Amino acid sequence: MKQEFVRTENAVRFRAEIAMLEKRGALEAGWLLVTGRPGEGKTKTLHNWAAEVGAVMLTAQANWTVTRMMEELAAKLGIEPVRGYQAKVAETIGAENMPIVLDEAQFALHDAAACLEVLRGITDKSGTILVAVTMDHEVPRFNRREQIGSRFFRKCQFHESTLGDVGAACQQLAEGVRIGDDLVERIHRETGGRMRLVLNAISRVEQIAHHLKAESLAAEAVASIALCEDFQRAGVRRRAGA
Amino acid sequence: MTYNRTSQRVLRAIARGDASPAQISASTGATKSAVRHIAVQLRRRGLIDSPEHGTYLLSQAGREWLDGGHTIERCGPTERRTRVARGLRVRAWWLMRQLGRWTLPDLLTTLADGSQRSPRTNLLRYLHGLERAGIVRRAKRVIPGDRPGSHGHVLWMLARDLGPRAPVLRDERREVFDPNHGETIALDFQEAAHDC
Repeated sequence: MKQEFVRTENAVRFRAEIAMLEKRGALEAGWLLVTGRPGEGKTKTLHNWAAEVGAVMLTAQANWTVTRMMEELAAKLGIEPVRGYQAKVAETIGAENMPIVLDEAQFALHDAAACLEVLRGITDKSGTILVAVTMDHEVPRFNRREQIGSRFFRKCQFHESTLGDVGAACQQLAEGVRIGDDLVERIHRETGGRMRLVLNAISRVEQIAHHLKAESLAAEAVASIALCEDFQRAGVRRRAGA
Repeated sequence: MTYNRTSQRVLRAIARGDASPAQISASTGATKSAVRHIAVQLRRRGLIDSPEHGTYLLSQAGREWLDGGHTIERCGPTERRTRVARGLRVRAWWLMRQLGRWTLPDLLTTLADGSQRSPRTNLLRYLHGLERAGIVRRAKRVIPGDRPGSHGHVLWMLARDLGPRAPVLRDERREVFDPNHGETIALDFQEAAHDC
């Protein structure tokens, strides 16, 4: 399988949201909330963008404190955590217009959202972008805090990949085999559009094609073969059958 | 990224069927190097595709963009654009610091978008250089590969986090420059190079 970043509709939509955010009117409303299920390519898309713009990326954890967050920020920026380092962190982020990415942002709501309040102070002053990643059901918790909720410019929802995305991924990544349209449809149906599972399925198709010495594969040729195993769905099936 | 009227002309030239930098350069008046640079930006934006190196085609999104009457405008003074790190190695260094442990496919599937000439060779050379400078090292564990007969992928680890700025590999001088501390690190050629 070719090793390339697949530009899915989610990735295109995320870039469009970032472009809109950069053209916002209110300088302080520079936060973007990214939501979606696991396996839909949130982290990969964020890494792709964050590496390009040189963002500083943090992952919030349970019982995260302001001190711990600031120490992590300092480490990412290569700043020694000595006296006055917090001011230097804010200064560096502002001077270099460095976006902040906060994964698992719901954990930063702990302790009256102290960590988010500190980040709000930094982004309000510097006008830099903050991208917060969380689960769908956590969104109301952000809105409950007006000071935080008002900073969010928009929400970017990651959806399951479309049939077009799966087709593009099959065409872009499959090596040595052409995957037929009906097989693309089957992969889309069986993976539920989760890119992580789609990649597993493409790899499996490649192996089957290699074994059969086939240049192209249609759904019929692999009708009796499992292409991907969704652990979560398998659990559901087992429970249903029990 | 700076989009301006030249980018618009390049996009229209590609829509007319000009596929190579030379053809686009002839019809727009932009230099071939400018055309290539603009093409990278347009491709990142999804407006064009590049089925093979040096060949550009209008994508479906690009067609809709032009049909919708949209124009690519120069950045205005009110627009707050974040800086863009374009180099593959710079981006790879960011990702290495972020992940702490990674394989070459991890870097490629996140960073290589098809616009780079040979990203695999480029990153392998960079990793080998950083390894010789003691900045990255290999874990004992190997990650199994997808292909039949694959020997697996080397799991790389960050041995020294130099800072946010990417170390610069200077092959000819056999050294790595660390822009975070302004130091140079000599490459150690005692250990034989390995494959990945």
